[in-house]
Amino acid sequence: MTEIRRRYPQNADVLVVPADDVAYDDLIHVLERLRVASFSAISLGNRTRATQVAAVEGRSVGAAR
Amino acid sequence: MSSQITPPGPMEPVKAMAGTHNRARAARLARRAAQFNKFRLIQLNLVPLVDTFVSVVFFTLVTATVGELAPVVRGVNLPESRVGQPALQQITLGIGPQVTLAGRPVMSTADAAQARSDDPAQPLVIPPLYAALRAKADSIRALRRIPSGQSIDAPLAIQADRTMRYDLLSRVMQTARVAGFRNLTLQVSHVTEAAVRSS
Repeated sequence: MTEIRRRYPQNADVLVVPADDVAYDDLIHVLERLRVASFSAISLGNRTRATQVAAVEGRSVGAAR
Repeated sequence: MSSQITPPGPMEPVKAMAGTHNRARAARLARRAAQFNKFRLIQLNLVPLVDTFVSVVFFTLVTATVGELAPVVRGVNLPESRVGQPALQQITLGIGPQVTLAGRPVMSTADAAQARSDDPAQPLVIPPLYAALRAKADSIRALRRIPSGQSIDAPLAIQADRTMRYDLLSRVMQTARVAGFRNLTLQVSHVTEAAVRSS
C-alpha cells in the first residue's frame, strides 16, 4: 500500500470492502496499514450489498486505554 | 679611577631566579583570573525566570484539553493498533456479549446479528438498536436545538470485540448512520512500538 501511495501521490482515498466473515481485528489491522501508508480518506464498503457503509476519515480511528 | 667588579655572592643567583619565578607566577595568575572573569556571572536574577515558568504552566493548564480517556466497555476485548489518537469519553456503543449504548444493555449480540430490518429501504438496520440510537440522537438534537431528521456531529464511539464479524459491524454502523450519527469512531487498544517489539 505504501508503494501504491508513493506511485499515485494525488490519490489519498481508498475503499475497503471486507467479506462478511472478516474479523474486526483483521479489519483494524488493514485500516492501520492504510493509515501508516498515509491514506487520509478511508471508506468501508460492503461487497454483497454494494453499498458504502461509512467513511473513515483522519480522526475516526481512535485509541482507547 | 679604578673600578672593581664585585663578583656576585653565592645567594644572588637564587634570589634572581626566585624573582623571575614570582613574576611568572603572578602573570599566570593574572591570565587565569582574566579567563575566569570572562565567564563569571555577576548576578543571576531568578525572579523573571520563575514568573515566566508559572505563566507557561498556567497557560498550559487552562488551554489543555480537559476530558477523561474513554473507558473500555466491560466484556469487550478490543483489537490493538499502533496508530490513532487518544480517545476521549464519548457516547459509546459496546459490542461484546451484549450490545450496550452508554453503558446500558440494548440487546444480546446474537440477537443483533439475527435481527431483521422492518424497513425494506434499509435492510441492514437493526430495529432495537435503531430505537435506542434514535432516542439518544433525539435527546442531543433537543439539547442543541437541531431540527429533527438532521444528522448530528456528536461522535459515537464503537468499541467492538476483536472477534466480531464485519457483517455485524457494517449493520451497526449503518444503523447508527440512519439514526442520525454521522461521526463514528472505531476505538481500539493503543499499543506502542516498544510493546510490539517486546512481545
